[in-house]
Amino acid sequence: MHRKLILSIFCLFGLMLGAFAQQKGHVSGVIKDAESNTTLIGVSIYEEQLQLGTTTNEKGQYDLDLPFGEHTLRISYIGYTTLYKKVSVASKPMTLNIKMEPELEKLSEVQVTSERKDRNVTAMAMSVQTLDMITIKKIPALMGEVDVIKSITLLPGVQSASEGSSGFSVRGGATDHNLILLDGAPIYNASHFLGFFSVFNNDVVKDATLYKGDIPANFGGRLSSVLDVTVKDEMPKRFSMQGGIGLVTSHLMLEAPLFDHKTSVMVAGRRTYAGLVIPFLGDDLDKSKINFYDVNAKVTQSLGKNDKLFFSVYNGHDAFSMQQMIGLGYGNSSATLRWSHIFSDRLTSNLSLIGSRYRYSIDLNYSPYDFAISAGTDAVSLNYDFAMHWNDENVSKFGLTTGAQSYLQGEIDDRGGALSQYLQVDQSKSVARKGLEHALYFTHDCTPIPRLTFRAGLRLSCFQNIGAEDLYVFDSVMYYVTDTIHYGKGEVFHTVFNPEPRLAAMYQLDEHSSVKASYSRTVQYAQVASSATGGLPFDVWFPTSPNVKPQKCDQFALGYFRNFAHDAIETSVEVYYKNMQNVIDFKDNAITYGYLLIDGELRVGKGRSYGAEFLVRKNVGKFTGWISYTYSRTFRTIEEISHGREYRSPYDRPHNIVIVGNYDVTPRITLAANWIYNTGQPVTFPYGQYTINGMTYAVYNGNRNESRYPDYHRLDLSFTCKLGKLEDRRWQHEINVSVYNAYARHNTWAITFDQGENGSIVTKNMYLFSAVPSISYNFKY
Amino acid sequence: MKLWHKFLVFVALAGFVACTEDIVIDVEEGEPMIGVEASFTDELKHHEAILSYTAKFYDQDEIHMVSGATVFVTDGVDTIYYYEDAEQKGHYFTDLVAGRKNTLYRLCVEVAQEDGEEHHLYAESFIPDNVDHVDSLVIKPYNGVNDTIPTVFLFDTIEWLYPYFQSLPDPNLIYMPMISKNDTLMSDSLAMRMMIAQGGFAGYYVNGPEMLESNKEIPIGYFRRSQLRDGDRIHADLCSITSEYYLYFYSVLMSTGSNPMLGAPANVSTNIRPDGEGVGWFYTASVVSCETVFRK
Repeated sequence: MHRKLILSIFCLFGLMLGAFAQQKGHVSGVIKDAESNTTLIGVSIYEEQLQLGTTTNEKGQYDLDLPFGEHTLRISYIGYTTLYKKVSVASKPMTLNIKMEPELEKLSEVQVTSERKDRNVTAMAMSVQTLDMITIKKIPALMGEVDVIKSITLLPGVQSASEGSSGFSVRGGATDHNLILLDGAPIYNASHFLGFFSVFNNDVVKDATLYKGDIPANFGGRLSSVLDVTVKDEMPKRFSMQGGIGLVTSHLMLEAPLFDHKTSVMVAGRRTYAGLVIPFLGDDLDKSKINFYDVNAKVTQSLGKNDKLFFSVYNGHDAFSMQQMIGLGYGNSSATLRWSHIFSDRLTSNLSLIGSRYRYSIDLNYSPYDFAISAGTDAVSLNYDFAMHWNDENVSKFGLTTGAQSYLQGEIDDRGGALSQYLQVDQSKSVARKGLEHALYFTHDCTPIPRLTFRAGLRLSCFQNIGAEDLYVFDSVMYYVTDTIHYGKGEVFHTVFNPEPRLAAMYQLDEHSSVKASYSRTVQYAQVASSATGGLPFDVWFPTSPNVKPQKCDQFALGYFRNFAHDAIETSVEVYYKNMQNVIDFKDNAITYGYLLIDGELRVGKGRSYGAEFLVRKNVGKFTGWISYTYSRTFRTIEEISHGREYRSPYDRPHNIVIVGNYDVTPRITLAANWIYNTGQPVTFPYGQYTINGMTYAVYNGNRNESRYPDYHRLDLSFTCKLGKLEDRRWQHEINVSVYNAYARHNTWAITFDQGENGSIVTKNMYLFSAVPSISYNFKY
Repeated sequence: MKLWHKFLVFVALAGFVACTEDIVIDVEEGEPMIGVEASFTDELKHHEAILSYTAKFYDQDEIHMVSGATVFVTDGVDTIYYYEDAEQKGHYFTDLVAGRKNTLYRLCVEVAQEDGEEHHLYAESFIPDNVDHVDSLVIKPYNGVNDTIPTVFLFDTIEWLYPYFQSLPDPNLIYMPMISKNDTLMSDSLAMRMMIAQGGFAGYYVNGPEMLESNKEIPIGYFRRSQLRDGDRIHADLCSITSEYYLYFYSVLMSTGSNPMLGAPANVSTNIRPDGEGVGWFYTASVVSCETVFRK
């Protein structure tokens, strides 16, 4: 009797649950721009009566469960006309694709993020910012060349490594602690023109997302950040082109649909003509050369309603030479083949095959030396990623990645034979060090109760060193080579596993504010051999090994996010703490470039960083922009360096202030300005001098980075005027006049100590820029 | 390779982009250290040690020499003292004596301070092997087929110096030529010296037919013809040095101050111990000399 009663109760309960579940229908679709057919990320789809809503993902897709019956959905997005759609929800899933019309007056508004207006409050993720091209193009830039990487250094927690450099430091991390991706392919040196410009052509960039912390589990391999740059991939409605002519470079992008809009092709190129002025600089430079170029191409193929194929390639190269005596060349190439598949309205996948190559070469023809040395990195990987949308409260992402890397340490072509005669160089000793890197990851977002969301994830990564390689064994005192172990081709001689948990939580206090917290562990298996803080084209990447353990970082972050004036003004404060293990630094007087025994020049220790980031941002109206202040400290402790005591990392710059402003004077004219302030970079200054063998040298007390360069600050100004008829959306063109470093501050790039008269030491401030005006013409058809 | 490509590329890049201006920086304070510039070779001569104090960074005053120190060198069997010159304070000389090849020598310096404290510094260095003699030294323009060797500089013919001798089989020997003309050293500065690693020609007859055939001639110095007069005596000392001295030479050249391209600056290498109490170098070498007379 009791059993029957209990069984009946369970059946009734189950029927009730089933009935309840069946009373919700599913609405999904894709939202695009009506003009360009580009998918829109972060569009709000909201049922006002039920206060239920969602936003579109990175592919413009949305999913929403609603009770049966009639509903009105409000679809809203900054810069677009808000729509109201009536839907009738029943048991059968419904697809509702929407095209949104841009609002012309609002196109000139700055969109610091492309997300919905209150996304900073409602979205789970913290320590992440996305810059779209509307924002990036308005920022005054060096020589008029808007640049993704220069733009992200205006964000809180991000600093340029040094003047003129494309290297950047995120929350105190080193420049090689950032994973830079172009359509998923790693870029090992993201600079052109010795760091003045980045490799990203703005004509092809869809958006750039920077993860400073709370790094998603599908990313790995770097300690501090991920800069994920995606190339435009949407089907254009018609042939279009855009480009620009500037003082130093010109660029052009063409895209067109083919085969009844099932295929799209995009090709873009950029080249500098700075080398044309070289002959005018003097007869002794007439055989000199300076130029760079890059080419992007992407093909998107629709294979049906549920399948899309993308193929994206990049190739860029820089070349400098002086009088055919010294030459430097370097460049990146990458290719991504991706298959996107929709299994159902809940499960999607991406299968990607990615390849990347970086090479540099130095050519010297200066008697008695005549040689070339080249080095670089190759990487290939296969990634399979899945996203499962169980329901609005539960979303899972999981996948795997496997890949191979090759690190060419230095290939020598001693044409004249002088290297082996004078400097004991053995050409047969050039080495390519190889490794395999794999990872599995799983992450789950859960909203157990309204306003509270958790994320739990785990990335399990593995690295293996494989031969052929001569592994040098060093003693732990003097770092002399005590043994050399030879491993044959394909022989796996070292394997490490590392779990990388990723945890996050968000509690929405009310509709305008939330608090968030996150913890992540990241592991890095490859690092740069560079004694330069700013990053150089001839930095050498090398893998972890029995001599150099993987670097690890545990980051904790806490943030409070608050919006005002109907989300027109966003504010946030984030605090973080990072604990790093196995950080590397070079010993004093280390031999760095192209050195086969480089493992013995490194010293390993620990690091820590902490800081607070404050941001106030206005997103709408004629005047937009942001003010940010970051307090950030970062230190290292490594035996044998700085007497084994904790010392400032080269990236320790406590105070950073950024003010960015854009003002739409009229629909045609926009004024923009940036002001940036940074505490001076840490540096090691001498305390004495000593003369020997006819030369005077500086004497140091052995403490590294105790002093600082003068503080860095500069003001950039920009004026943009749209030409032609504003209402003509087909042909748009504008002229931009800008001044970089408007008040001509001589920000220090380096300080050198030269021999002056009577053997005295003269201190020189080397700086790269005074005020740099520029003018450029941009067009779009 | 390492030092050349780093140095020359840096020069090229800096030349392309940077401007400079004088600046005064706030430097650190610190206790002066003792500088030791001492040498001991297998030449029969008065070997010299120069002792001085490091000065404050912007100090323009005369160098403060260390006077009254006890300086000696020992191989564990014999001890040879350096005696302070009466005229030149801080300069110490041995009697007429020669070191021995393939022998380790230890230099000891004892300095009594004004406050009664004593500094004890030491350094160890080995006199490497060297050939017994150089058969000849020839000065002539290059007339081979190696395009990389210049023959003219600013319309002036370059006269290269070629030694001829049977090299030792040890590929690890490193030579530092010191060239003088009419008893005047061409340069006091270490930065202007050349280093020649024997790795590429160990066991060969240097500049002989075999090396000539493979375009591997080894000049050890050069003059522009306008610098030479008929009858000038060209003297070359072929100094066989230690690999540690070679690394010291490298750090001397890289000592260019702070620069984001060159990493954290540090003291020029030293073999003076204990660490942090002395700077400079105890230099040992075995030296073989050769001479020629320039004839037009």
